[in-house]
Amino acid sequence: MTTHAPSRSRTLLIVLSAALALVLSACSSGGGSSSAGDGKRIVDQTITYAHAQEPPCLWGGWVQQAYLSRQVFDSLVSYDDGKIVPWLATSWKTSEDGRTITFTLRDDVTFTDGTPFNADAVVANNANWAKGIGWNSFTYLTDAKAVDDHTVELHLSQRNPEIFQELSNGHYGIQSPTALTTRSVEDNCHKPVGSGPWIVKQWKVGDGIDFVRNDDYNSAPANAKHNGPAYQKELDWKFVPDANTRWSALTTGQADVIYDVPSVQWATAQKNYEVLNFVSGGRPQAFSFNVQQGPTTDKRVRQAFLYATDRKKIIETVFKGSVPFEGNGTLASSQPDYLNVDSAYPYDVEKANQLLDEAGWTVKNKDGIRTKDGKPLTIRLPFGNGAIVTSDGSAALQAVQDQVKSVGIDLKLIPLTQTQTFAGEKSAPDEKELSFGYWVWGAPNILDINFAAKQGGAPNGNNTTFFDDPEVEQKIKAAQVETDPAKRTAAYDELQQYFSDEAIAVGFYGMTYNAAISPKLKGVWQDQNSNGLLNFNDAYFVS
Amino acid sequence: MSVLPLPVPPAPRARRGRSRALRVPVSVVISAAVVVLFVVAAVFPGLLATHDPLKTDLYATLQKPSGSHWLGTDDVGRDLFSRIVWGTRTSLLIGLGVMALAMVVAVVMGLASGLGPSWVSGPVNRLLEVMLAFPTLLLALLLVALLGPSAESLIVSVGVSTAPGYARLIRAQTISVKRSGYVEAARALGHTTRTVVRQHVIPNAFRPLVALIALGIGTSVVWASGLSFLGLGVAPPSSEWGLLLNAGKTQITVAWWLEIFPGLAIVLVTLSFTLIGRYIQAVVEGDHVS
Repeated sequence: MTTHAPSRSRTLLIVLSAALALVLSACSSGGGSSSAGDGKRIVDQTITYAHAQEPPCLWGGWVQQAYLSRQVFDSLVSYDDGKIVPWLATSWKTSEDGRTITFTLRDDVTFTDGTPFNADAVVANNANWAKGIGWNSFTYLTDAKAVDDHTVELHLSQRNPEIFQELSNGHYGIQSPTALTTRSVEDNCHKPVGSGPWIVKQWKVGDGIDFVRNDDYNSAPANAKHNGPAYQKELDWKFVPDANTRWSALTTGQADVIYDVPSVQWATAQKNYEVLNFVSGGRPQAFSFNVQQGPTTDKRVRQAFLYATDRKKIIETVFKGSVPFEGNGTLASSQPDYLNVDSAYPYDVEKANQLLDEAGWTVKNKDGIRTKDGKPLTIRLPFGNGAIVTSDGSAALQAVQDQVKSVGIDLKLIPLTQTQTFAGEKSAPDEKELSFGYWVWGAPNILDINFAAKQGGAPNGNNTTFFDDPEVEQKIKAAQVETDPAKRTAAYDELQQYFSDEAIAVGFYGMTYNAAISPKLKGVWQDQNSNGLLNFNDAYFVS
Repeated sequence: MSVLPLPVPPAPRARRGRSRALRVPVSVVISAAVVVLFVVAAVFPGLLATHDPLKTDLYATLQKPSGSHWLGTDDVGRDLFSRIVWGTRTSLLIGLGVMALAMVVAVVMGLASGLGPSWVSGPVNRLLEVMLAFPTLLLALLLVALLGPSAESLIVSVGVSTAPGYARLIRAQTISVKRSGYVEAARALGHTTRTVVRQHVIPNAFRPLVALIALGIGTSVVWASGLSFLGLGVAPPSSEWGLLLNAGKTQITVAWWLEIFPGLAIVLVTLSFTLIGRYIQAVVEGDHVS
């Protein structure tokens, strides 16, 4: 074997190659770069984001749709650290009776189809929300009226102090009225037109959505980190249902940001990546007992179920710190009027057995399940497997199943597919004794949504406990129109304590929305309103 | 004048193997032992399991295989070995159920299309063709989506989806036997159609199915596990093998045993049934080489 010392020409070649590589790397960083506090800011690139679930439409009433809507639509107001700040509306005032809100709108905003944003656009969108968002009535919005070109009134059927928080969440994005009236439902579903930072280029169903930058964007909310077009040119939004695949995409550099980090990787994610974690508003993942029929109409059975379950330990073990235990089943910890009831129903098997004995479930069958009048103590729990409850959540429920069996309760888990879940299967009072799920919402009037016996004269499908108590319902309605903050908090405290004490709705874990971000991407932030929506407009790469 | 039917020479049963004694291959012996082991696990799981398969232990989660937990534990501390053992019953029952249903449907449709009059065989044939136009898994997915996820749905969906293939085979065999010389001879000798079908057509047409059933059980376990893996099978906390794979997939990067061992169980059962099926097929067809 022979070796050669580098010749002069070869040395020159190496130097030239290195120089060329430097030039090329500069070129490959796109249209520009500037100095950022944390390194050279690289712009005009593509952000690849791996999300978990793919909704059928870009906008609508499901939280997964709000994630997408936020990229394309602006809203009237934004929520920032407990305060409402301007967005498309520069100012607003509420009438004496609280039922009319007058917004003054920006006059320099244009939708990406060229339609100007004005009061008529808000009127058209108010009608569209009523049509397209199933639970819109719980905001108490009725109609809207254009006072002049840039002043609009929103009318409510009753006072709603939380209306601004609701309007600032991702569901209440403003779409182009021209697009709403002239384009097909399909087009407005998959490629709606907004005035937001991103434009849908293509929705490849089952794969992802390609967003391109809105180069004319000038209407960022007051709490954004900059106003103007997004720093990056494209946003490649992938749907990757499998958590491990998302994690692998992040660790191999195929994705810059991933949603919902697998709990087994949570510690690593915190160490090696920037991590965002937001406990959503509304209601946490909670148990809702059927109080209309079956064995769970007996408070002692409900309480025994809870005493028999080491809920805190299960959550710590299964979620490994990525998701917090939550004892409150009515309001999420991120709600302003939240009451901490974590200490209610500690793990106490003896107490559980005592309560079941008192309730008359004294005889055990050969399987160790308690019986009364020959009927076994069976609690059926249908749950949206995947759509509402992740695989970790399912494991946690199986741990509950095992623990309650030790006191003689037969918990039957009935996983439902996404189609079955959204088709409302197993939702009748005679089909289940227990429900499990969350509800993302921006305000404490989630209590009205979840516990009102009727909605529009018909049974309230969102009331999974089948609770029907006019007196309590009256308290809920009174709390949500209370304008004095102290009285309002006291009223909500009383209600939360009631639902906990009565063991009607009891929490299990906070509904969190987390994301892990590559160290080379900075500036991604999470909306602190109910949904924890991700904002990519301010995101930039660093060298 | 009555004509007494003459005795018909027995229909040629499938060619017998060569005259020399067959030596069963070692692989088939091992496969049979594996099947016996799994059958014991299915019938008497308590004999083999070391723990309660549903007992969680929140202080012993994701434990590696060890002396106390031979195949490790899952994310809520359940013993994986015991779960696989107890899951054998569900997995094998689903496999057997699928084959039983598939065979019933296939026999009815196969005989109807092979022996029935044209107004029966025509529509049945068209129906078979339509069903065969769908890939098996797609048809099974469609059916399980309609029926909802459960063990019964798995059996029905996979059974119905795999039946057309078997039905076509039965039809072909039936037609082939129906046209054979010994059947013609039997008819010529005055045997009734019923006798001919019972004594000659069915036994000869169905002989190859014995091997197919053995092969099919293994395949059915794979189909059913696949659907369970997709979340379309039995409900938790069952330890059906596909469900175990599904539950373990989120932990795969930190707990390899949750995927490897249930996967191995599926492979072992499928491989064993397949080897046994092939052996039977070879014996039945008489071309077994010892």
